[in-house]
Amino acid sequence: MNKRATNDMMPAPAEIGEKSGDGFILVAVLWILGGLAVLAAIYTLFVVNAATSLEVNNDRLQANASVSAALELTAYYLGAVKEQERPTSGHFDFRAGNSNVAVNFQSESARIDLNAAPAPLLAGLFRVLGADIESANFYAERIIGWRTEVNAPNSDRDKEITAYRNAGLTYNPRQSPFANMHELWLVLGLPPAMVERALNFVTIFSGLGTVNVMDAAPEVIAALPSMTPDRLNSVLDQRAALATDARPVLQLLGPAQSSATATGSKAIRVMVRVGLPKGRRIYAEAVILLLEDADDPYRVLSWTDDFDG
Amino acid sequence: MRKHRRADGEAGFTLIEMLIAMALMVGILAALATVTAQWLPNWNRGFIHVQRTQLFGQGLERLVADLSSAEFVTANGKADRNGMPKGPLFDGDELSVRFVRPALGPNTRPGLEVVRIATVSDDRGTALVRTRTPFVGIPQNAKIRDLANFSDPVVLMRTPYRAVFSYAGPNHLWQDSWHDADQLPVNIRVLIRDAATQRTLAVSTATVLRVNASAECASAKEPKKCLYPTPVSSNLDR
Repeated sequence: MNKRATNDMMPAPAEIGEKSGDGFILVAVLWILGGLAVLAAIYTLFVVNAATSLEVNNDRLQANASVSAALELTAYYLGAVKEQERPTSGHFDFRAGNSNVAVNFQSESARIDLNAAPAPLLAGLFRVLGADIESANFYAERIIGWRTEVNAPNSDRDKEITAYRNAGLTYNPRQSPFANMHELWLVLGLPPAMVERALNFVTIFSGLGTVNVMDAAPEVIAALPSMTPDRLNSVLDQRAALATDARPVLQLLGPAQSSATATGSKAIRVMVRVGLPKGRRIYAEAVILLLEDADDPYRVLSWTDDFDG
Repeated sequence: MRKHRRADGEAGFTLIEMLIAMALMVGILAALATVTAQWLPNWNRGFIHVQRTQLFGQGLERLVADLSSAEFVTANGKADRNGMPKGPLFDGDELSVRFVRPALGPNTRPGLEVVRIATVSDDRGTALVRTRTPFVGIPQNAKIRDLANFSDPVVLMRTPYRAVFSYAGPNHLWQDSWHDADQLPVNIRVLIRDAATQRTLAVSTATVLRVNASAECASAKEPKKCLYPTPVSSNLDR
């Protein structure tokens, strides 16, 4: 190697090459550092994963607590008022910990009770949801057949059971009131699409054969027997204008008045929207039963949320 | 002379220096490899242990969430003896629990399903397995524990751990079984035992069932009577 040239390019101090092993200690240290870095990276990845899964847990806990708080506040709010003067719907917001909670509540009488509604009301609902008159009547009859107990071992009872047999179903109609809304999926002849649509407008908790027109969804009001589009529009307009007075709205219904009411039920549907601090939103819907002078102020009849069906 | 040698050293390495350096590097690498080789199995074992714990934690969480969404569904037919409201389809003992809940998971048809979570034995020891079957109504006098044809098994936890269920009603006293009661249990406790040591682990947990009233009581004229049924005859009355 040309000594002069090296000296020209690199006028380095003489210490560098003093011990030949120096550079290799550095290499060893670099190896160890590299190894440690890999371990640290793996560990970080693992901890991040664990933290993410824990956060889901954390969200669930927080949301659950917020929904419970919402139910309790609703029960408190409604329980403070006499039953006759109780509002049938309303909303409020509150803050629990660092999550925002928005609550909407509505008496279950705003929906059509599968166990109490007469056939024309049920058929009306299916017509509104897109079935033709004949099918709608058939669906309503099957619902009545599902829920009605026939004591005498006569032809009527057998007829309903035979219909299920003939359709190739392995089960019989319940022949007692619906114990769960999802039993609607089991009723003979109801197309799944129809059931899915209907589930938003029916209940089994109101116990009333009538519908509260002040809170009901437009579809439900349209389902009332002998309802016309004009009448429906005027009812909806009137309802928006007179939020507190039910009498004029009921009068507007004309012959449909017999299926309508303005009273609430003891069962209240509470819709809760929880906004968690990181922006995640969780929806939950529960139905509570308000109790008077009992050990518990309320009981829970149904509960669904985003975490678990 | 010395100065000259030094300047030479800057220009390159001698063969001997090179050999020493390589020997050193081999020594260092060998040491590193030995240490790593000794540590890797430990590291792996720790990693697998942590993963298993996590998986186990998730299984337990799933189990608890499942139990808490049990619904108050009754058998077909009208109220039973003495006109008392019908009890829910819920049956549990120490090793298994059966209940009705809205269907969950892929490939399920919408509606309700009966879920059975039970400890079963297989070739790898015992396992806590969740199985399900669509709910299509249960005849008046049939029991949920007589149902068969459960499918879609999912293993929630395996041999070293064993789950033991206990149930509590409104009086908050734990009992080993819950058969033919007129109410759903208020709480379900899941104790996790290590099968080898029989020690109860700290991950043991309890859950509150969300639904605690039936639709029948909601539409009853007097929900209070339906929810708090008084015994037909008690010693105090006599």
